[in-house]
Amino acid sequence: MNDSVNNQNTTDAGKNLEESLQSRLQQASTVANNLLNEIRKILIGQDAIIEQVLIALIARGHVLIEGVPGLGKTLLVRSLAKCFGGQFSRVQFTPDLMPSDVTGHAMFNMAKQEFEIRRGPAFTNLLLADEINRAPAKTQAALLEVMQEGQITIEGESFKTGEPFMVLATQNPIEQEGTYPLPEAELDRFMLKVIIDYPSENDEQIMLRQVSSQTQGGFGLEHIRTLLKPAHVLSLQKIAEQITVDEQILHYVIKLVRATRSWSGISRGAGPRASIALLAAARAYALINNNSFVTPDDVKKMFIPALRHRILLSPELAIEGVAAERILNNILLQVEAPRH
Amino acid sequence: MNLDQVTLEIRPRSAWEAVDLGLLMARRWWLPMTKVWLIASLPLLIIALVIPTDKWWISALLIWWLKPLYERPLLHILSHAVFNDLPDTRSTLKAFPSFAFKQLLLSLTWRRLSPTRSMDLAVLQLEGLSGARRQDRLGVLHREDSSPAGWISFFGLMMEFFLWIGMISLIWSFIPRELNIEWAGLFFSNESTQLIELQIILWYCALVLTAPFYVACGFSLYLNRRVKLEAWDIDIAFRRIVNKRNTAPSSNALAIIFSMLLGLLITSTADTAYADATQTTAPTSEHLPGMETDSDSDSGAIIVDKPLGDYIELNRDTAQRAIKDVMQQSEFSRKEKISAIKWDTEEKKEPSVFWKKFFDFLRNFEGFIAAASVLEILLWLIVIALVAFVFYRYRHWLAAQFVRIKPTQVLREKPVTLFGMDITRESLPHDISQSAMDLMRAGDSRAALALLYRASLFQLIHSGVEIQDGHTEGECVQLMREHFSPSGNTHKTPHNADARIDYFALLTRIWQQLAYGHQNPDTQVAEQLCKQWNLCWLNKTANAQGGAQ
Repeated sequence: MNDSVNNQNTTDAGKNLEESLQSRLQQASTVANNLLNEIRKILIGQDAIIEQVLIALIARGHVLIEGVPGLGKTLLVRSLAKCFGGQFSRVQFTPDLMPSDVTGHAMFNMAKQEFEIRRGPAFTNLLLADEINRAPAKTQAALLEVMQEGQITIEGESFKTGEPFMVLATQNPIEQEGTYPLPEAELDRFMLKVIIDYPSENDEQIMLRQVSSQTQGGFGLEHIRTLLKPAHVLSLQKIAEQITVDEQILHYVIKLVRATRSWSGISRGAGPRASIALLAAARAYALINNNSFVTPDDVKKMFIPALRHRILLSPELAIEGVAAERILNNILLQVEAPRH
Repeated sequence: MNLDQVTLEIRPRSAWEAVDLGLLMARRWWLPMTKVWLIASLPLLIIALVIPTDKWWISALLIWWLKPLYERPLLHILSHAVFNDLPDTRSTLKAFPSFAFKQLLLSLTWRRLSPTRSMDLAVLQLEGLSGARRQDRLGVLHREDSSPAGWISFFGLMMEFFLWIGMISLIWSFIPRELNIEWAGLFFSNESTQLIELQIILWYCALVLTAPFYVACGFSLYLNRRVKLEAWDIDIAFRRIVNKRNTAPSSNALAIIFSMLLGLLITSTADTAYADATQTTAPTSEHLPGMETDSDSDSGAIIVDKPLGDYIELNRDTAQRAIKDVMQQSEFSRKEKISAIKWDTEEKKEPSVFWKKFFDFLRNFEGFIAAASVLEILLWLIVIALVAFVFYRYRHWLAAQFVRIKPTQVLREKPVTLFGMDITRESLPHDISQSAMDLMRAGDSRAALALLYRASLFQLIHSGVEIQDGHTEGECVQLMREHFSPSGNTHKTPHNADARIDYFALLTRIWQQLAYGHQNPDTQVAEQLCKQWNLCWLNKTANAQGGAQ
């Protein structure tokens, strides 16, 4: 009798927990979608891009945004920063930028006769590394620690960055002269690589109308409301981590990532960090879509943005101009979806 | 070799630009080169003219074949002139024996027909290389920018030929129309041998005109390669910097002072001279240079005043008759005895008879017809093979350009397993709805939903939806929507397509919740799905008998 009562209590507690998780998920999804809609007001016609940036934010990742100039890469980041009310720093990467210009350095204070740490722009919530490939490898490498660990070591002492912390780096695919391609280790630290393309004709018309109606010719960034605080973002991240992932989904993620290592046409496949990033991104995607569990569709949706910068095509395909996305699509088509 | 003295603008050039420089060099030093060439080759011309005229080809060949010999002094001149040391004719001729016989035998035998002769000559004559070392050097030189060397040999030969024809045409153009001379026969007929010497001389003149350009172009190509290989341009630039630095400022100042003094001196003398001139004979308009004075034109006055006479049109018939009359006079009809050296041809009679017989035999040889037929067949076979080869070689391009055959659609075999589930007709129960309901009642909602989903997939595949291994459940719904969408679908759309899509979408959603979200479905919804399966897919009620079809 007691056992059955206990069982009943456990079931009720489980149900309550599930219900509370469901309601929290519901709330989180609403918040995330509000955030999405708020940025959409400013950045018109780039819904998929905004969504991917938000996914990276929720999944504790960093984003590499690639696109020709004038598509609103910086605007996206600025509006995101304003939306969640966190700190925002922008570093324009140039060939003479030094690592300490990003991370900070120790400086001798003549008055106090002691060294003091001057923190660099990386001590923030959102760091926009504009035109990241214009700085040499040593400066790019300054981001390695902060991207992975969320901390910066200056003079042997480690300092935590802001929480949440996200790096949004932009690069331009057309001007290759005088640029330094990102090293593999750096690329691998970006959860998603987002390709920003031209908006459609209709969207461009709407955007032009909107910009021309602004009094000072701006993009209306001042109209963006602050919907979240950094602490809310941290909650979103925690909720996303609680989203159910079935064993089959784990297998599917691993199968997909491992397929890149033995696929003909790919000379270097993705590492285990790719699997982690893919799963985290799929969870965040599920959260935005108000799902309490990850489906193979979520994994598929995130597969290309999470993997496109982590594979190296074979020289023959690279010479032929085959895009990494094409190969990844083939993998998606041919790797068996989960079986139940 | 002193690069400070070089008279050319030394810089790396493209191959044809180097040839252009060669032409400029030939023009610049044309006179000394031609002079030496004439002197060197004149003895050979004389020998060629002595050779009996019926063996004219020996003369022509001799002059042509020995060209490498008298190209050598030209290269000697050029190689010195480039470094601002133009040798005079005497010194060149004096030096001639020293380089004329260097590897001459090789140059006149198997190297004679080398198309890159003009470029290679410098390696032999200036660098003095022979054997393997020469070959290695040529290999380095020919690695690039040497292709025009062959072309200039070809163009040179053509130029000689056209100049020769041109000069013959020029002479012909001077012959009045009234003289009916078979000019072509005069020059080209074997029987009329009177003008053979003239032809040889004309051929020789053509060689004179082309030789300096040919040698200069080849040498320029050689120089260009060395400029590139040895970085002469950089060497010269450094030398200039060194020279500039070495020039002391004091000497500069001295030079300026000296030139100023010299300038002053000249100016003062010039002034004096001008003053003298103004005092004595200041130029007036009557005495401007170029104007004739009366006294000058005195002697010419008679000539100018002399009447020219009326213009009389030339009567060509009269003229022709007059020429004929003149030609018939004894002065033109006398017979002359010309003695020339001729080979004794008596001995050659026998072989000529042999050859005559041989050719007669060949002429009457009937096997030729058969051989010709075989040859013709062979030629046709070669042509067909060539065409076939071209078609084979460019088959992809041709296929891409012209062939527009729609590829036959490969009928895809319907899969028997999907997502790890057996989806054959045999694997499914007779009544899906009933079986699923039974499973639900037994408390196995997962098995019930799996059965419904499996049966739905079976129906989808058999209605033509192409589902592959890589497609997820969500994509299956999407594929179904696309398949049954009204636009561009050739398949027969069932009347309850929308209901089916909705049913399948709901089933998929519930199935995903169960499979991936580990959430048990609402019993009512699950039972509803079980009941609706037959109605939705087979248009039958749940209790009706009938399986998946």
